[in-house]
Amino acid sequence: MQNIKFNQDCVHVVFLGVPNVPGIAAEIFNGLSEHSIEILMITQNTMRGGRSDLAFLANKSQLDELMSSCRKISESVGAQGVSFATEVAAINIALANTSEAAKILAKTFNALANAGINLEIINSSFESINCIISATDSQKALDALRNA
Amino acid sequence: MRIVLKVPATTANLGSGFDTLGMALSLYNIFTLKEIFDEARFSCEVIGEGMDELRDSDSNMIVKSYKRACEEWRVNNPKGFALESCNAVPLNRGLGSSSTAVVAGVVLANLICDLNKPEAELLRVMTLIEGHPDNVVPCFIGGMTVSCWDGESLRYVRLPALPEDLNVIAAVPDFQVHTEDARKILPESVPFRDAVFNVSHASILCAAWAMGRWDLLRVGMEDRLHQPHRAKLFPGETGEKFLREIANHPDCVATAISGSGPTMIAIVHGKSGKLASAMCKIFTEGNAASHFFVLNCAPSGTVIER
Repeated sequence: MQNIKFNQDCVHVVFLGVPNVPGIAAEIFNGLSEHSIEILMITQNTMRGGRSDLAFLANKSQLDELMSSCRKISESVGAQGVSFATEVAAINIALANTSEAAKILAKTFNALANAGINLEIINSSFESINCIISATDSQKALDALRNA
Repeated sequence: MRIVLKVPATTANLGSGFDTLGMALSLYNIFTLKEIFDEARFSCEVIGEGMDELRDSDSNMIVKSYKRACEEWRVNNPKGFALESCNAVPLNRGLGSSSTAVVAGVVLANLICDLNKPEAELLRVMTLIEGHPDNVVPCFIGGMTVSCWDGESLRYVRLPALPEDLNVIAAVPDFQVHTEDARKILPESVPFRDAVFNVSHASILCAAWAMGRWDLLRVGMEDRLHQPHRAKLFPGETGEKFLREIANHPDCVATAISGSGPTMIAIVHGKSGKLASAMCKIFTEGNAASHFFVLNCAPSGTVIER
């Protein structure tokens, strides 16, 4: 596979157990915007019990600002806590055209699965596939994808 | 009756205060009582941490603690309940996850059976169930606590919470250290000089905490009773490296193994991104994935909403 980009200068932030009510995402990202935090990717998983986890990827260079702002935002929105992972890698695979998307997605996930790599986050758009993996798996993932 | 319990994580021992010191942290499990049954049947829906491990309501620690508290208080024909656990405290990582369940079970027994037991009695039963007081006491009453348990009587003192400019970084790896292994690795006896070392350091820690002498926390949290042994349960030399390198990091006020591990905590002042990254880097070097929390000392303990 070609057109693979690796980014190890990122932080995976998760607001845990955010109340599932209108306006919470706005409050979180307004707070981050006030600290000029650059957001690279956002995911929200569905949970039961009126709560969900809201996660995003940001630049490691802003870690101090992230830690300080997210702690305050977590309290203000009534989240159960906020976790940070700095030992992660983001993989980005460009899609040349939408017709090949399904094929490349399958190839990517098969290659990573065969290498025994767990995916923390999967996100895709018309232009690319993004996956977050543990930094301990970086080299293994790169080798697996290049040989796929 | 709808009851919501917001129950905090805790970090126990704080180095020198083995089975004695503990602090509530601003990371919470939320337990919602959905329904009460006239008969003793129980259902627990677990969301988040422990979703796979805690499905069986017969072995659920909240249910067990509820039943044990009812026995202790001689409640005839205790009622059952349906509960939803929304868990954020990592399971079996040394952040007092099981204590949140013990506290919840005892509090629910007191509320559902309408017993109106005083704080000291609730804490006594919680400690009886848990076996040691250093997690359940701060978990229930909040802040930083010093506790003494002789198997029957509990005595405890709550110290002031950490000031707002001091935070706790808790670095959590993806491996577990089983409490049984962490207890088994401890020696049956220790040299007299090590006992004296810990008495003096734990005393300095408590006095410094009470008087706001935060400059003495690093010395006060030094330990010779359990951490040198438990550090060996970490992969590679991760544990020893933590205690050696993180303690000497310029942004670190003090560091310790949280409870029986494997979570490591560092009390920090000001910007601490570099320190938090360094903590997780050590786990990566030991081939373990990890994440971290930035936490406050939670002053409120368990919050009950009815």
